[in-house]
Amino acid sequence: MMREMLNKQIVLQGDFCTLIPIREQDLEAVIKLRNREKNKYFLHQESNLTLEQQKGWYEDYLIRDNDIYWGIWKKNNTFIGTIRIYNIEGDECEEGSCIVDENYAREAPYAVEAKYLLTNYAFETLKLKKMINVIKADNKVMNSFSRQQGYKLMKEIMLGESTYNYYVLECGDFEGEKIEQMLEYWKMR
Amino acid sequence: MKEKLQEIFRDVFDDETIEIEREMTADDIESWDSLTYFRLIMVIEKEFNIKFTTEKVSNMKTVGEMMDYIASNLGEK
Repeated sequence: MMREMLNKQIVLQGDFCTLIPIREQDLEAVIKLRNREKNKYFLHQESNLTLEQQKGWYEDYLIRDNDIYWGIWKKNNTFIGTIRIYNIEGDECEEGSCIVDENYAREAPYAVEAKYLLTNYAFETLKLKKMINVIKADNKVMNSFSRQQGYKLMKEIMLGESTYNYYVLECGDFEGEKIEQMLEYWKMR
Repeated sequence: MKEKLQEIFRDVFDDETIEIEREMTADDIESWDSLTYFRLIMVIEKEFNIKFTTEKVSNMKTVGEMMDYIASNLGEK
């Protein structure tokens, strides 16, 4: 990957949602979402984050040059979630921190589009060849979603006492067309 | 209508063993994620020539609610 192309200000515009890089003023909304019990469980977050902790993380984040963390915003400027690529090294990266507020998740295919925008950005703009996604084994929704994107399960790993599935998405395996067709239908209805 | 809906479920979830029941929810089907859910609604709308309201799409919890909505909209035609 050409590292100079990594732009932490990059906004990814979709038809249903917009991915806007996290700003300091978004951190309070981020921790509110991350501190929900279900999200803590699936994100392997043992305790509630404080604003101070998140601010500390954010200061480090601004210095790093191997990750981008976006907020997912509805068209009416409502913050509804987060998504991130990180460990961008060579021609690969990991994706994670994907949360869409349950109160909005079924209004429109926000999560589908957010993941689509992120994956396209990784493969098309950053020219990466491989994405990795490590998902808690009992996270039924995310496991299924990732498989449908084209991710292949490579192995199971243990993190602490929890089992995680380690997936790899090769650029050529991305089921972008299938997702585009679905998004197009929802845009037209 | 139930048979047709079951066929759609089997196709979308790629599982020939699915037997839909009114009480069935997302928790009962392994691959029921947001991508399959929105695909499911899309295929149902096309196959039955109906449209779900945004509110209905957001709030449907069970297959029974889905069946009722389809039946009531088919009845209007």
